[in-house]
Amino acid sequence: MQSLEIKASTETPEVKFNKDTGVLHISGRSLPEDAFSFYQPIIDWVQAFLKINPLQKVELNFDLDYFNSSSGRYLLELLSIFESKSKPGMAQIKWYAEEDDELMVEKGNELKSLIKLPFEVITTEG
Amino acid sequence: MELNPASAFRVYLEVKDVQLSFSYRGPFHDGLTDRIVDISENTIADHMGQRKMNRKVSFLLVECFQNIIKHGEQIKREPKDELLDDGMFTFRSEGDSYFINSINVVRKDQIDDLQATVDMINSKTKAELKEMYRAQLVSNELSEKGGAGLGLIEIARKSGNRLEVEFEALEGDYALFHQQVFFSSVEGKTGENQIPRTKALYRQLEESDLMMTYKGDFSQKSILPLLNIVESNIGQSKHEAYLAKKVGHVLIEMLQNISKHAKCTNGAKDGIFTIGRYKDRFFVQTGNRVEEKDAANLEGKLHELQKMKYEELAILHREKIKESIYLEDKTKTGLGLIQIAKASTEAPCFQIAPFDGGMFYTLSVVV
Repeated sequence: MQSLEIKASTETPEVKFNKDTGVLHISGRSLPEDAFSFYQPIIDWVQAFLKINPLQKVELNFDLDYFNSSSGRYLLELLSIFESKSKPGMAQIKWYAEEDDELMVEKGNELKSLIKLPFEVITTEG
Repeated sequence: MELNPASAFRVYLEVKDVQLSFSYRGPFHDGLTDRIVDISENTIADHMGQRKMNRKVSFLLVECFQNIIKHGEQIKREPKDELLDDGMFTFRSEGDSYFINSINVVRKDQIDDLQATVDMINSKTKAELKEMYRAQLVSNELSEKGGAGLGLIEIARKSGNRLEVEFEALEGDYALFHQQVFFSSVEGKTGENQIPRTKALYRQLEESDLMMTYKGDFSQKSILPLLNIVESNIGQSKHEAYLAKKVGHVLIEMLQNISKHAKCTNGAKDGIFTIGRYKDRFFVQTGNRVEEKDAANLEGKLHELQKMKYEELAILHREKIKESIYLEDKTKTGLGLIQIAKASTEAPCFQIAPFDGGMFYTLSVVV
C-alpha cells in the first residue's frame, strides 16, 4: 500500500495521507460539483488503510478555506469511518480555521458534535 | 432600502437576451484586472470556442480597464471623505459581438482634450493608427500618467472599430466619461451604441446599491472566477473584508444550486447573480429559470426555512448531514439551501413567478 497524495486543484483540496506516520492533511478549497468522484477514492483508501493499519495513532488535520455542502457530507463520512473502524483512542482530529472565519469555525464545531472522537477546533490568525 | 428579490429579476430583464453580461460598479484598482479577465476567459471561451477571439477579448479588457485606472479620477466625497463610487465596468457578449462599456469620473477640464483624442483616433484608418502608435512609441512622449493616448490607440487598433464616447456633467469640476469599445469576430461588423443602455443599467445598480452583477452560464467553470472576484474585491474596510469571506461561503452554495438545479436553456444553465450593500452588510441574490414541476416543491421548502430560527436551522442541518451519508442519491441532500438560510442574518427572501413560458426563481440573502 502506498501513501495517498492528491495535488490541489482550483476546486479540490490537497490530500496527503502518510501511511507510515499516520498523519492526514486535507487543505485548501473543496468545491467540486461532483464530490463523489473526488472523495470516494479517498474513502476507499482509508478503508483499506484501516484494515491493515499497524499504527497506534492517526492524526487527521483539516485546514480548509472553503468547502461546499456536498464536500461536507463526504468529510463526515470520512470521519464516521474512523469513528467506527479505528481502535479506541487511536484517531485524533484537528480542525484549523482562521479566527475571523466564523463559518469555518462553526462547521468544525458542527462536525465535532457529530463525531465521538477527540476533536480540536483550532483558530489561527488570518 | 427593502430587500427585494425582484431587483435581481429587473437586472435580468435588462440583459436577458445576451449570453454573458458582467458588471462591476465601484472604485477601479489594479487587483481587479486579472479577475475580470479570468471571468471572460472561463465563460466566453466556452460559448464561442474561439481561442483567438478570447485572447483579443482579454487584451481589450485589460487595456480598457487599465486606461481607466491611469486616467480616471478618484473624488473624495464630503464630509465622509470616502471614495466616490462613480464608476462602472461592464462587458457583454452577444453572439459574435462583444461590448466593453465603462463609466468613470474625469475632470471637466479634461473633456476637450479627451474628446479631441478620440475624434482624431476615430478619423484614422487602420494603417494610420499603426503608424501613429509606432511614432508615439519612438518619440517617447509619455504623459505623467504614462499614456499619451497610447492605450486608446491600441484599443481602437485591436477592436477594429470606432470608439464611442459621451460625457455627462456632474456637480462641480467633474464629469462622467462613458466609453464603448465594440468588436466582433465578423470582419467589418459594426455594433449598436449601447451607451444609453449602459447608463440605464448603471442607474439601476445605483438605486439598488449593487456592486456586481453577472448574467450568463452557471457551470462550475464560471463559478470559481466569481468567487475569486467577490472574495478579493468587495471588502473595502476591515469589517467588509471579514464579511467578504462569509459571502464567499454563501455564494458557492447559491451558485452551485443554480448549476445543479436550474432549467437548461440552449445548453446552458442560464441565470443571474448580483451582490450589493444592505445596511452595513451585503446582500446576495440569484435568479434562474426552474422547471414548473419543481417550483411547488422548492416553494414549500423555502417557506419552511424562512420560518425557522438560527438554532432550528442548525439542528436541521445536523440531522440532514447525518442522514445524507446513508442516502442513495448523494447529489440530492438538500443541505445547500439549509446552509444558505443558516448563514443569512435575515430570513431569506424568494420569489417564484411565471416568466417566458416557465418559472423564474430569485433568492436573496443578507450576510
